[in-house]
Amino acid sequence: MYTHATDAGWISRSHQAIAPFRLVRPASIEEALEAAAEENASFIAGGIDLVRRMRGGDRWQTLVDISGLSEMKVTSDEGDHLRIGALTSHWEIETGELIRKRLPNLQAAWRTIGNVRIRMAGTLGGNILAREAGYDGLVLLGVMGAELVFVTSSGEAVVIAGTGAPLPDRPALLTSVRIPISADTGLAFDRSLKPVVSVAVCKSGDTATVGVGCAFNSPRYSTIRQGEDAQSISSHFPDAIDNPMGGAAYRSRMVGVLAARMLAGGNGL
Amino acid sequence: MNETAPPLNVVGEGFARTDAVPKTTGTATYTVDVSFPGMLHAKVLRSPHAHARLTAIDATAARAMPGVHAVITRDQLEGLNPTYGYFIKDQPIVAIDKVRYIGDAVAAVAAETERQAVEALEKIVVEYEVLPTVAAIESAMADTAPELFEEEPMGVVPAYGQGASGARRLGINNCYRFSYETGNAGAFEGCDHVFEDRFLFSRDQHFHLEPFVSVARMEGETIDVWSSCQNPFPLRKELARVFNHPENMIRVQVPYIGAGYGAKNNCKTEPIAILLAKLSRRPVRFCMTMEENFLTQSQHAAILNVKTGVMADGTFVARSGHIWLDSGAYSDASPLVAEKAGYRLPGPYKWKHLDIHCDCILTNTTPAGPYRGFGGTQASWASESQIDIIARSLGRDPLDLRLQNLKDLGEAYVPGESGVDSDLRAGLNLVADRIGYSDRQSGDGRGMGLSVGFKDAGGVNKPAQARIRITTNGGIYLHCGTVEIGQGVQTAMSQIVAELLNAPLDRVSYPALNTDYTPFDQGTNASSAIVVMAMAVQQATLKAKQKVMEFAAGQLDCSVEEIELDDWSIRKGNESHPLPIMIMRYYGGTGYEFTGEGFFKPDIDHSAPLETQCVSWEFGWGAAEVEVDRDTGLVNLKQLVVSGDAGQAINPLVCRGQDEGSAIMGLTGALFPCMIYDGPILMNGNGLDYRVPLATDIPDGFVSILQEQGHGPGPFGAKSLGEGCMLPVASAIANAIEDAIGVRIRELPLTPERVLAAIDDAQSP
Repeated sequence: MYTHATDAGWISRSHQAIAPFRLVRPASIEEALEAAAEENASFIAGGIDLVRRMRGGDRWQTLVDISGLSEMKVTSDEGDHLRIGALTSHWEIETGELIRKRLPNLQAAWRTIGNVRIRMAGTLGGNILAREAGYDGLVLLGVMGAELVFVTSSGEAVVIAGTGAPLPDRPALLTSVRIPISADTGLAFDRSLKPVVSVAVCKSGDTATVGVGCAFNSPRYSTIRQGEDAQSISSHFPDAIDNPMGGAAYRSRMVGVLAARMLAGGNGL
Repeated sequence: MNETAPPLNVVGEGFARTDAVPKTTGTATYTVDVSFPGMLHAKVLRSPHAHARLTAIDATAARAMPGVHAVITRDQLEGLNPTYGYFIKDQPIVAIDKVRYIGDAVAAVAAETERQAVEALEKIVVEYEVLPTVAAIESAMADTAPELFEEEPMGVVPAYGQGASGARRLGINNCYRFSYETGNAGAFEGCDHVFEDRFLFSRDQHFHLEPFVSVARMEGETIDVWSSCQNPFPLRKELARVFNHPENMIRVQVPYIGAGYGAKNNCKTEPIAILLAKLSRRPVRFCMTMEENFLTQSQHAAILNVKTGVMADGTFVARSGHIWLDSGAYSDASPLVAEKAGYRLPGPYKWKHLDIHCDCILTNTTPAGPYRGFGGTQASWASESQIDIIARSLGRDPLDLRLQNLKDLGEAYVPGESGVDSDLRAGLNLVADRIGYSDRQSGDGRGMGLSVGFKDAGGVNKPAQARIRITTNGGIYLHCGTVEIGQGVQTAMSQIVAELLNAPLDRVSYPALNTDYTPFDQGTNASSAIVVMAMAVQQATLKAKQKVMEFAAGQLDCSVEEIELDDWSIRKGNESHPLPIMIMRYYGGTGYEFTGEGFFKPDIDHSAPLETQCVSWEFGWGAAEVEVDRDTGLVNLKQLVVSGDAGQAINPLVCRGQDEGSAIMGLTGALFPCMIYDGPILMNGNGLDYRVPLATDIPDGFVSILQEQGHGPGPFGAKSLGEGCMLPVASAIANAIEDAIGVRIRELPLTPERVLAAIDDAQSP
């Protein structure tokens, strides 16, 4: 159930019972920002999470449908970075030729995200902005030090993923993600224990960044240097979520196991 | 089939399903598609508390909301028999005195739109007196546990035969007990070894894609209800009782059903939809969300204590067992599931003594009910796990120990029962050979396990009727109460009819079920259709055919023995006589319809424990190969080989679909998280968080082998199929895990965390 309507009880809405809203279809990023500046407005693209939240009782006066903004679907090679439009679907990341050439490890890792239905409709931006504990897009982007590029009414704002920096105040539109490309950078990702824990490792030189998903309310990151006991990375993190879905001790232990395994020669490292 | 049987033309062919095109092109009509002008939409207010007394409820403001035409609270139940259930009538249409789980229905609104209904529900004021909760079997049985029902609800204990019995309220929150005993209770004393083990079984949700849904309207004083329902005739009977309404003035119609897996039996959405329709005098659609499905029905979690006595040479002697099923908040079908779980716990082995009890324990969680496998899944998990434990303890190969003790073909399951109708050893050897069991390299993280899934099939004392109509031009209508729920029965039944009438398959139509004119059937469940209903269909077809042949013989002035039916012509020697011409010559240009009625029911037999002998036995042989990650506990399923016995496959493709589908469903309970409760709160009761196997989860080494051993009791030698291959999956995997790492897991699901904990335990001093 996604809603606790009143003290009287729970109500489960179907799509037909979501709160009414005004739908705006902007023709440009500028129009999108303008529409989103209205009170109680939200962007919508793939709609997977937003509609789910609306079924749970969340209400928006205005939905700004940005799915038609083709400039946010472009992947471009910027030399030392690959820029992926925020509206790029998981499927397009999984199959994109440029991504295959420039960031093959990321493409391989992204292939494990979501089921086929979600991969077709869900977008890169939606995965990041949904802020769901079980969503792993930000785990990967965080360890890679990706730049989340927002456009606001006052210009571009960049947030480095994985630093814990706050996202810009709305209205701000995530338009693209710039991912650094480096010949000596390796990436590995293990989602085999999802929904209990997922671990991404990005190694550059003698330093590795470890990102952890599912085990906390939002992704957590830490670094480890060559020569350190990789399993000890577990101790770098706070207490994990402890519930019947997965115990804190197990989640924590698995962070070390999976990270050590990947650093010892896992795929992509 | 015997050697003189004529060759089959339609039966045995893997025709594309007759519902394939409408379903794959989106033109098939399901209950969710049913709509009427002026139709209202129902929504339900559900309890936020797991256990509470309903001290006050005020829906005045809701009734005044725009678009609202009817509101139900307990005040609208007056004059009804407002509770329903199978053996025990304990579940109210909406809460009367208490709510008993999170999600229990408290009130319902019918409005012109779903949004208006939701907004009205938000205006309802309810006062609760929160009560202590019991969320698990053991706490619910404790002496100090709060009782879900202080007073005994109305209910019955059915008659049982030799060795079996039932009882109610034998302890706190114990709503039903089934017991079965045979042989000498002193048998354990003569055993060389006695093994006692405790197994825990987790709880799945059916996850049918079409939700619980019905559309009800009043046509005069006739209740007209479209329902996604597996047992429309018992539903009609129950609705007649609940609403004090004549049965002949209740019409249940069932279009295609978007799966059910057992959940869509008996009352679900129908009482609320009907009551709202009666109050509003408008058609009312009540379609649950997927989240509401999770709060409406689930499988039974279970604790199973199993004690088995064997001789030093491995001969099985005695088994006793006590099963406790988590029934959730209402009894629903728990007594029936208890019968089956208890009755199936022995497995298909030779025993001298059995003593089994199965209790249904009420808890403050989602009501549990029928689920594919129907108690056999729980029983097979414990039984087949323990057989491997015994084998390893005796130093015996688990395959050999099973082969030594399995029932023989035709041997009675227990005294008074029918004989098993499959060669069990042949089936087990088949999957063992296919997976390479005898050449396996056990240990070092990799291993194989076997299991024999088993259940009685065909229901208990189950009657079925069918009617065949054949038109002037040879169009054939098959009317029977088996619903097309995704299993392909429409195709299979039509093939039987086409074969018997020597007609092409596309001349057989299978009209949608309507209780006003479809002949009675007890329900689409228990893997019964291809035997129980198919016998009625066969009889109806042959009777209709006989009428045609007698008519034709009269027209041709010859005996029936001199002619043959050949695709709606009569062949007499080398002459062919089209039937349409003969029919119109005799009956006139408007034509005629030949009809035949069929009926089947096993005889009452007091020597049989369940009062009738089992019609057919269903088996699923399973073999698994796993690789266990000792550092994470992750079980990587490398191979899964399953096999069922169709006797004679009416349609091999349909049979294969059933075997493979049920095996993959078995994976859910084995390796996926299942329903996770934090106390009485369901944590993953939605489509995003609840994981079921995807196509990508199916191992490369997944193989299903369809056997046609030819011993089935149904038409052409068919026998029950559709549930068997899910039964061995969990225990085969657990047995493979022990083969791989020497660790026995006794609790499902086999999550990495649980497996790793067991590895840790085994390594701790």
